[in-house]
Amino acid sequence: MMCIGDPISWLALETHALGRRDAAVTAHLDACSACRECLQQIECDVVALPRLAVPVRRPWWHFAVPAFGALAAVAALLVLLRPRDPEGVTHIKGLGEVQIEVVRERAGTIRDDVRSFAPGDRWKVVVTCPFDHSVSLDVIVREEGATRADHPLAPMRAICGNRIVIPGAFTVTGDKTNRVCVHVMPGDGDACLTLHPER
Amino acid sequence: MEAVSDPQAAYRAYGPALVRKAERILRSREDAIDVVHALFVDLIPRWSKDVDLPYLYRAITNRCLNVVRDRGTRARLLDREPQLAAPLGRVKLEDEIVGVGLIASLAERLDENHLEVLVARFVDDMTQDEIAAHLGVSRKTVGKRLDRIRDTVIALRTEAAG
Repeated sequence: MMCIGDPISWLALETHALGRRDAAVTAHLDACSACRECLQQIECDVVALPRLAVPVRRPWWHFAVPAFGALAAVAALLVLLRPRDPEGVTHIKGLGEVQIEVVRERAGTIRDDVRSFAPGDRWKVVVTCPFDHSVSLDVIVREEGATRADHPLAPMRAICGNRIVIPGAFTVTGDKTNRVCVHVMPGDGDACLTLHPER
Repeated sequence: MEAVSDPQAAYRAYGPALVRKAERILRSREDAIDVVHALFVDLIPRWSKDVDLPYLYRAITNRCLNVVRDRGTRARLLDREPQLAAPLGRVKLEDEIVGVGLIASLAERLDENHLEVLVARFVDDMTQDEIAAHLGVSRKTVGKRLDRIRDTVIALRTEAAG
């Protein structure tokens, strides 16, 4: 198919088909069957366009609010699920991890794996803390619900190390649980564990 | 050519023209519709009064050239092209109707500017004056680019023959 001169471009034909007529284009189309056929092709063509879904523009806070909510939930979860120190272990600022253990002597039998007491039991306290730190250790025993605490052993100064035995022993009486703590200075921290009465 | 302020109205008004243009390059109506739809989806957030049919024509040219450059899509289009009826060809390049195969071959040897001129001249059938106005370059530049395109086609044929 030959055009009689310079073909009318497809853009010009589309523009013509949209109703914006140009005299030169109209004159060419009247005289040129090739370009007229192209125009007819445009006019007869049916294009099934899919629906254009316009994305909704949301304000920044539309995304920020749930994002902050999710962050807060994650933070709360981390706080709740954070690893906790086992009983008897605490971290003291400037010193490090301090661990206390108790040793029970009952009728000549010594055990360090029990936390229950009965009348007549004698208890000793053992402390482990980071090497080469000089600390002051004070044992405090407080019965559940009591307003006052006992200091059954004399405070002592020690150079930290593994399983330092605090001199002396004490007994625990009554039928309520007792908290045995070692107050550590400097750092002003307590490492505690609980003794339960035997029923 | 007046611009359309509403993307939906522009899509309805110009969409079919753009699909036909994309189809002339890609020789596939399904791919042409996909390209036009994707263009409007991308344009909606930054729609302006400057968006008219010539602007969209250029945008579709670039989108189609990207499709042809994509190796996977190109292979599929090339595979199907010989089975399709030849389009109306009023302006030929060295006696050849420009289709996916030739554009794909030239895309590996010519830059974006030359390919735009190639499509405008041999797919959209624009005159050199129209191309110059459409692309915002001088007619001399258009002429130089057309010469380079012809030289490249001749080189391609020489290599294919020898």
